[in-house]
Amino acid sequence: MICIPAPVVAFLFLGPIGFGSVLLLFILLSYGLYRYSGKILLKWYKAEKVGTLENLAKKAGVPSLDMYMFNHHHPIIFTVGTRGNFDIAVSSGAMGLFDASELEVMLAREFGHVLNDDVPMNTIVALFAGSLASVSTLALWGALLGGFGQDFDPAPRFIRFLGMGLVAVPSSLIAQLTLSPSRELLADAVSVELTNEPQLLAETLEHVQEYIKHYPIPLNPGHVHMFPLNLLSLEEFYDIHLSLFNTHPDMDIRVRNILGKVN
Amino acid sequence: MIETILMKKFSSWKLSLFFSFIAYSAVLFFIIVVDVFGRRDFDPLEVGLITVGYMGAVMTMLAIGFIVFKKRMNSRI
Repeated sequence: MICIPAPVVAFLFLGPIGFGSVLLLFILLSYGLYRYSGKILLKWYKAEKVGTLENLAKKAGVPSLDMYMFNHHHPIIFTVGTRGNFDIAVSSGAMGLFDASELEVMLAREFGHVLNDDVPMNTIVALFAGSLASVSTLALWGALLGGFGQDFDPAPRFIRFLGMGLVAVPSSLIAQLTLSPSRELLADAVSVELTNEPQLLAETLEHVQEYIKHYPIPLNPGHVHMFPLNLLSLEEFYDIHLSLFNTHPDMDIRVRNILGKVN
Repeated sequence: MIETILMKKFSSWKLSLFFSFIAYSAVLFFIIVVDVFGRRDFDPLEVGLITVGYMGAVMTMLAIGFIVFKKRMNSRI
């Protein structure tokens, strides 16, 4: 999107040479972001490679995927990558919460995203929407360092709320306009096909939803579409902007859809 | 108190759009202040043009947001 107006502005101020060089710069930048967006997101979460997923990959009929781990209390699993190179990241919270079979059905969902070709779009959207949404965190840090008080004081929270107000609409629009909620239903269906455990998948998803209600933790809302379910919770009035980022279908519908595969 | 009343009366995505509008208006106020202090003069025509251009862009974005969120939130698959 920025590729279009930026060279035009450069043309107005610098002439044809400015137009050409800015256009070339933006094309290179876009290609770099497209190619390395997955790695950037893994670095964002400080994820480290721990192995490869071969058995599920063989079942799904895709090349084996690298598995990464990162520290986070929430049970987060997501897949990133573009150009056919995909990596699955699993949080320490997920490793602690799920047993082996639960982890298998959740990982099989990620293979569903790979098979349905959702991952490149998910990754690009996460990079742009996540970067925009993190401006609100910068606003909070600015307020804290500017002497407006601690992070639980009203002033920094209000400044963060205003910052989020500026970025929430464009950031969530990127996600809402490019991603369909049906992608999650299709990924659930692939998980059921690969593992033949619809009941377990439904129970695990419901379990995670209950867990989030009891242990809410702030997350970057621009990344939530990559996770197995909407992990954002509206705890207080200052969180209302988070409601714009829900790109997942309702849990009731998902469970009905998953269990409907066997009934 | 007032937050609870607002949250009961309006859906959260509508409130979010409203407070986004407030946040963008605050930025417009800041832009006008910087412009007036920079020029050391209040030029109504220039301030009017800034306001119309800026608010036009903001309202277009919020209108698109309203349509998209209404469709998405009211018809979750």
